[in-house]
Amino acid sequence: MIDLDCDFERMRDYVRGRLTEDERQAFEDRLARDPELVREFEQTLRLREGLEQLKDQVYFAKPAPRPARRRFVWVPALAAAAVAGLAIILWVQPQISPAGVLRASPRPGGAADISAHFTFVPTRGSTGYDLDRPAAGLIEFRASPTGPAAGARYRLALERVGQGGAAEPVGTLADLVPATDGYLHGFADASRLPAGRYLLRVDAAGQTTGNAVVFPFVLHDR
Amino acid sequence: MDPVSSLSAVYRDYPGLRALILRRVRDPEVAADILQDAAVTTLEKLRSGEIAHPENLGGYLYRVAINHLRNHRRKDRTALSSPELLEELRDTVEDPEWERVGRPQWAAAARRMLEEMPAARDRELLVRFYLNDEEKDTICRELSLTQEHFNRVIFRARNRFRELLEQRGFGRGDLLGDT
Repeated sequence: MIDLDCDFERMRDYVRGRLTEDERQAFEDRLARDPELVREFEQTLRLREGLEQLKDQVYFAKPAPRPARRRFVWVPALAAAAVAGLAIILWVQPQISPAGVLRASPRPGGAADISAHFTFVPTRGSTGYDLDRPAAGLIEFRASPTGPAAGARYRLALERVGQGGAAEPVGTLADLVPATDGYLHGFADASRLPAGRYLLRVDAAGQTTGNAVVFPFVLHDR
Repeated sequence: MDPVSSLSAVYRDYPGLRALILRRVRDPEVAADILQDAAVTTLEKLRSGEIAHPENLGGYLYRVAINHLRNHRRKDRTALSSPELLEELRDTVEDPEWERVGRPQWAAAARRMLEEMPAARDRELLVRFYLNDEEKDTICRELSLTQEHFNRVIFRARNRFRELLEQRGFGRGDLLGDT
């Protein structure tokens, strides 16, 4: 019989050698006589290995999982219209300040123009992410607001790392609240973000920048 | 059952255990040695009548294998960061035995399961618990979750993962029916 309150944690602690001698002995005795516990243990290890493989594939910073959508034949036409719309906007508004590169939402009607979704979740041992820069369209950044920067309102800042290692602000969004999916969202025109090294910072409002969660990543041209 | 057959049974019935050991030692030969030793020890204990519940041989094997792994890690920590060994580890992905037990499908099932979870917070919970090895209390506190919510998410995720593997033809009965 599996005890939901503690067995999942106990399996993990057993593998990690974190149980006391008495706890370990008790767990091993159960393991020896309870086939269900063995099955659940094996299941745990497969799930864990599946997640490890996803981590190896840099899944946790690759384009975000999207709800399954039907593909329609008019998608290319919409994409073309969106690109045309983008061209008009850029033509009308050629002088965008660096701070304006990051915006809190796609422009009205611009959602179809999103060509990449990057999701950032803190994972231990992760030193950065290699991401493919789309040639055009919007990049959607989704960042988990939890960890040391937990709070009610957040600041999302995108910085570009120069040759000397100094980070220059590219865009900042203040006073953000997590969306219904739990993430903070920011959008940037891919054409305004050249290939290179970047930092995405998440700070809770009212906290020092030392408590920011920082996600380093490199944008590569496809 | 001879040691070779018993090792084959380990590979067939407990690929999760094998994957764990390989992840930890990062050396396919050492991982194979640990499993072989565990299988032989289990077999010897079975023959000498020292296993109280022979119908649950898997539990005994798990215990012996994880103890061997722990002993190995106490003695040898040099294998953790060698680039050559990491390369060798990658090669084992090509092992046809992994294909047969469905290891490539584990990642696909985990991805699908994550994508089906509606809340980012729940996805993060799984990552922090299973990948980052963070404590349940810490996760609950930082994500403002109750222990019940935590248990529910883990329980549902595991069930969904199992269902997805079963849909792909890697159900419980295929691999663990004889434990």
